[in-house]
Amino acid sequence: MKYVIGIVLAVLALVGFSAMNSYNGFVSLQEGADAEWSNVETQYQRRYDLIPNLVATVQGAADFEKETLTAVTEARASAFNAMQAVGNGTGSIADFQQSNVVLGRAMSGLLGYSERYPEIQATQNFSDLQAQLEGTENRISVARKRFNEAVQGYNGKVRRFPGVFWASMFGFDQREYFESVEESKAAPSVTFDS
Amino acid sequence: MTTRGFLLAFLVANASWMFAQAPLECLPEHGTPGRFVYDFADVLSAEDEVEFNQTIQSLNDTTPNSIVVVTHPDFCGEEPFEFATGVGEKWGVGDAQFDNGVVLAISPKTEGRRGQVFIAVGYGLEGVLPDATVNRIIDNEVIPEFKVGGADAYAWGIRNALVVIGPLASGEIQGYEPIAPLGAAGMLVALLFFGFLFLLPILIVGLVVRTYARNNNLGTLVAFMLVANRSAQRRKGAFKNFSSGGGGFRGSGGFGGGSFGGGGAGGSW
Repeated sequence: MKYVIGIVLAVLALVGFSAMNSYNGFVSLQEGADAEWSNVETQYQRRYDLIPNLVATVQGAADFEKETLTAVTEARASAFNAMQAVGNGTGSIADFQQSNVVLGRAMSGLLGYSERYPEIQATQNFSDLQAQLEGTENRISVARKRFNEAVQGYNGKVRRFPGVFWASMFGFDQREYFESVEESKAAPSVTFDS
Repeated sequence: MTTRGFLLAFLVANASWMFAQAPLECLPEHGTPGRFVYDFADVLSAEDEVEFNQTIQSLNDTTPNSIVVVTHPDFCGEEPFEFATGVGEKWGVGDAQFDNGVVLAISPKTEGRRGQVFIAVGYGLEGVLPDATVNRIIDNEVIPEFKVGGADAYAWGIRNALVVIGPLASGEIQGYEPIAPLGAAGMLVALLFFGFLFLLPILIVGLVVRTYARNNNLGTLVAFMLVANRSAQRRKGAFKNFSSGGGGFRGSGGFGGGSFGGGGAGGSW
């Protein structure tokens, strides 16, 4: 009888330890992914902050069609909203990516249009801005890659045994990550990944 | 757990390659501590490599920023930005605490391909080396030299980049504007100034030797040789102290685990 109680206690302790271990693991991986997400947001925010500068720069130098400029401004607003929706859990990353594809196209249109105006291209201001935009794209791609890696670590733990057992119990769901969007790579010069 | 569950878990575990960082397998696993120039494309002479290594080492001695120069024939098939950032991450250029690394990556121009250059800036230096600044340095200091062509073109482009980036990274100067060419008057002042700098040591040595000769009642030539011998010995001693005392770059030799977030700029020619 003594042995049975001992064994039961040992098993209970083991189960309890496994549960605690898994739970703590989920929490720290979850937090890691959240930290990477906030970095993603920072870098996208950088892009959204640069767009008004870009619009102002080209607007001052040449007569642009109103639609070209409003397309960029509107796409920026909806991409920003989509980002906030992901941040507070009401929107999906897929929608966010889609809104950035739209924004990327609008910006490529604007930049392509400005290529007809050598006087814009020649200014230091425009060249600085282009470097900043390219740098922002690069930072976005790095931040996205690191976010995906963090989510992958988290999802891996949530889906594998024994984590999968505790994850469903404690309510840790899998998280969404960025899919690669191939079409945006076709754009020339400054490319805007979603 | 069902078979399907296991299969799924297996697939998830094996999907990791989709997310893995660019491995850059064509490069060595680690940088060599104390070596800052990696000329895989073989466009630099041995003397240039030694010179740049010394330049960077001396920058490291004054401020702990690390700069690494890498030339590669095709960037391992990667984009310039991914290659430069990848080298910085893979080798950990800079310090883990300050993320103060810079990677200058060059893929030389060949018959069928444009030359490409990218300067990747570690997180910690993005403030003093913003993208627009790096872009200006590349446009004004680096690519014009590369365009000139010839045996020394790459060395001059790299030399210019180091001359500007070094002080910017260490915070000695703020901001960068292309230097305006000197006018005739400026040129004259500069010539006089450097001429004076060149003559000054000769005058001083002459004075020392003459004094020494008079005090010890020796001929000028003998006095000169004695003085020269003595100072050479002193310098040897000083050098020994220096190399044993100064541990170089805080022990990590420039590769202390610095991190890169995609900062920097590039160009092609």
